[in-house]
Amino acid sequence: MRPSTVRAVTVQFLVFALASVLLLASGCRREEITHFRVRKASGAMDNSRCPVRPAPREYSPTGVVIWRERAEADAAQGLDRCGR
Amino acid sequence: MRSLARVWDALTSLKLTLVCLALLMVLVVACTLAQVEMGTFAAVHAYIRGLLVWRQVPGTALRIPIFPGGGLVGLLLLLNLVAAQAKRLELSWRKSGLWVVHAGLILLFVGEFVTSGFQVETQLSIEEGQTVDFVESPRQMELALTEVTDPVYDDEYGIPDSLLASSTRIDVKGTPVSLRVTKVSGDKETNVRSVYVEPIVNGRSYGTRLVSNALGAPQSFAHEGRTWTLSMRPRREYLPYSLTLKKFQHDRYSGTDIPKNFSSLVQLKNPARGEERDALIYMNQPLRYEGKAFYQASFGKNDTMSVLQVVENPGWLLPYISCVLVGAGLLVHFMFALFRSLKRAVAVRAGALVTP
Repeated sequence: MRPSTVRAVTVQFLVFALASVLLLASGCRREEITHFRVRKASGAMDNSRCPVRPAPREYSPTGVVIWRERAEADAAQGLDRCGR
Repeated sequence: MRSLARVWDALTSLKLTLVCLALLMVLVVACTLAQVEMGTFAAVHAYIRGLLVWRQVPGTALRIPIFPGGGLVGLLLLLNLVAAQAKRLELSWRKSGLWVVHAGLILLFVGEFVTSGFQVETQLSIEEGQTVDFVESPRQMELALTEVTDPVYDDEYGIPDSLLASSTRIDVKGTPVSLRVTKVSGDKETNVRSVYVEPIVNGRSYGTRLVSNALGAPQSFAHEGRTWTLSMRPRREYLPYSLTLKKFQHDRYSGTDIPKNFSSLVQLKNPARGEERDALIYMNQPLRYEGKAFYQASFGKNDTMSVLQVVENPGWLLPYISCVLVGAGLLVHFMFALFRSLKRAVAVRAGALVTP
């Protein structure tokens, strides 16, 4: 094989490899919806996290009001914000 | 054709190499100084990762580029290396050492691009005696839709912050739930992220809810015996294994409050592999497991809580390989030079002996 052919092939290979890596690095990270099936109460990291409470009723117009109502009811019973 | 030749000449010139190296030195110094005000992550992002360094014009919202960023300089240097190698180095055994050195340097730059493109940094906070099987992103939030109907398992769907900001309606695959996003707001300083969403199940609306990490409790709704909750939290990834913090140690130099060492003794449990072992994580000695490296990063709660920085970098091995390549290449190159020199010396001595 002639030296010029070897050089041309080498340059093409290097440029192609370089372009592939750069394109991969810039375009492959995608943000998608994740799904995990986990055992209940496996979350020990967030200490502010409260255990999930059952929904009070099937339809509620604004969640904020519900949580304020609950917080007030809990406070009246001497419970903390997690209902403990 | 002539202009192409000029571009090729410029791309292969040694001047370009020197200019790029000088620019990189300036960027490293500027980035180091900027870390005082911006913090490490923001400074590296602004000076090293980007193509250009931007500055805001005082009194306006206008941002203008003021300097080439590390990404652009690195890219130019990489192209320069590849082009110079192809143009100048002949394919011969004599030059094989230099070929290997160049390949090592190219791999070093490629490794940095792979790191900037693919590295994922998360955190794992754990208290003594606790067991944790997930990591969370300190910089990204997600809206978590959790089906809590099953008494044993929860089905957690994490909707990334970026998707909330760009979509008005999100169908959560695997559930009958659609979410209509009305408003997204956030405050970077307090790290509070809030979103108004309207859950819709099989065409039935369950009202607009405010979901925020500032509320401290999830929202919930039920449909035909199935219950879901909505909460805003740091982006989470569950692991197929768990870590239990057995002991966190904060050593100080005797008689002072100056820290000497931080270490976390953790128990690693992987039920799928039947693996259960202890590992000690301390400064610069991370636990590497299944593509993730757990570094000792911080601590809290009167030395009973440890914060581990979890880094997943598919290109972590590339700098090591490139260093070996550069070292081996230099060795080969100097060996060839030594042999040539010895050969010449022998020839000169032989010539001196022959000459009367």
